[in-house]
Amino acid sequence: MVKILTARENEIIKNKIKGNSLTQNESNILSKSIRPKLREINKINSKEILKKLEYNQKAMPLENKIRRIILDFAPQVDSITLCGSAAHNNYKDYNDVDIIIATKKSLTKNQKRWAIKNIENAGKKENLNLDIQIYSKKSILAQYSNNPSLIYQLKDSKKIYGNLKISNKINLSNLNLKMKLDWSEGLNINSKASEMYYALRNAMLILLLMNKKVDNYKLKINLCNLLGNDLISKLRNNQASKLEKRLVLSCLNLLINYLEVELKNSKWEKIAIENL
Amino acid sequence: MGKNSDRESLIRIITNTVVHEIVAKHTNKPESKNFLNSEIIEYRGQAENAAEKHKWNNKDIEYIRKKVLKKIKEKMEKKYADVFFSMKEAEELLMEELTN
Repeated sequence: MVKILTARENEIIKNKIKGNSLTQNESNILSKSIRPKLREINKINSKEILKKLEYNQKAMPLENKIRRIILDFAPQVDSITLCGSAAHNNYKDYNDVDIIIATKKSLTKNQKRWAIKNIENAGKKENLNLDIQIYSKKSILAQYSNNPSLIYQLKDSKKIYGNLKISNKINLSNLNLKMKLDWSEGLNINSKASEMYYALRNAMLILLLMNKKVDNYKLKINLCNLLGNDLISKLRNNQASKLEKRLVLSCLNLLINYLEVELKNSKWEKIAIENL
Repeated sequence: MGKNSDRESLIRIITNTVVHEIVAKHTNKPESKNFLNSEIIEYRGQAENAAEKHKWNNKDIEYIRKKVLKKIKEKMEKKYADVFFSMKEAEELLMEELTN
């Protein structure tokens, strides 16, 4: 069995908790080894990591299918990256498969449309609900460190073709965060529930980024804590009632007002986050 | 979703597209341009999806045009008051969006 703490360290912890006095050497071990180790452990979401590492025999054939479909229909493919719940849960619990395709050169609007339509149709024939985004590699690299959605999408993503090397440092400006809040502008009771979900997700994502956090698990948990699993699922599937939409709008407005004031009063121009 | 609801959705999305275009054009922060351009692409994609669901006649387009212009003015004054732009410029950008 792998031991994170040595027998001696375990003994020191027991003595400390019991209130027994520690020697100088033991106190040193407590502060220089035990506490840092425990702090590091605390940063890890082991449940989520185990979920990702768990072997799923479906994963490889699925990825082969996806890769084949994309390479059949998209021109100039440089890399294929899976993101969203399929990538986070290793295909255990997902509605659709979100995919970012990076191309070697920029495609025209029509080329993109044609490729997306054909890939999504071919996916449907294989019982795969594919949600495709296509950008040139150059454009992804240029916008990555300024684009809140892309930062979250590429965090915990899985490359299944090529290699998209992104920076592990981001620099978000106040203006970009402020403009990301625009997704909530003009929403009302007659708006689609999925638009409300998207606006809410963006607002929550900005709240996390303002606290220097890029964590998809936290984003999901925060949304569920705010409105509950059921309502979040109804919003995503466009099934929320008018009453539920009213509740969502009031939550969203509160969150947006708070974020707008925070962004307006903030003294920083840019937020830098490293070691992503 | 009915046509009226999709029309309102379209107005909201086109407003955001044009506002982003104006800010991208006038911002003195070059690093924000890439991000704003990618947001414009995303808004456009959504607008195209909403627009494809129905046939829009000239009356619909005129209604959308007027509403979007009004909303652009309100939004720029309320949220981006430090960006100097002309309504003529907004109208030109809007016409490009509507014809595409």
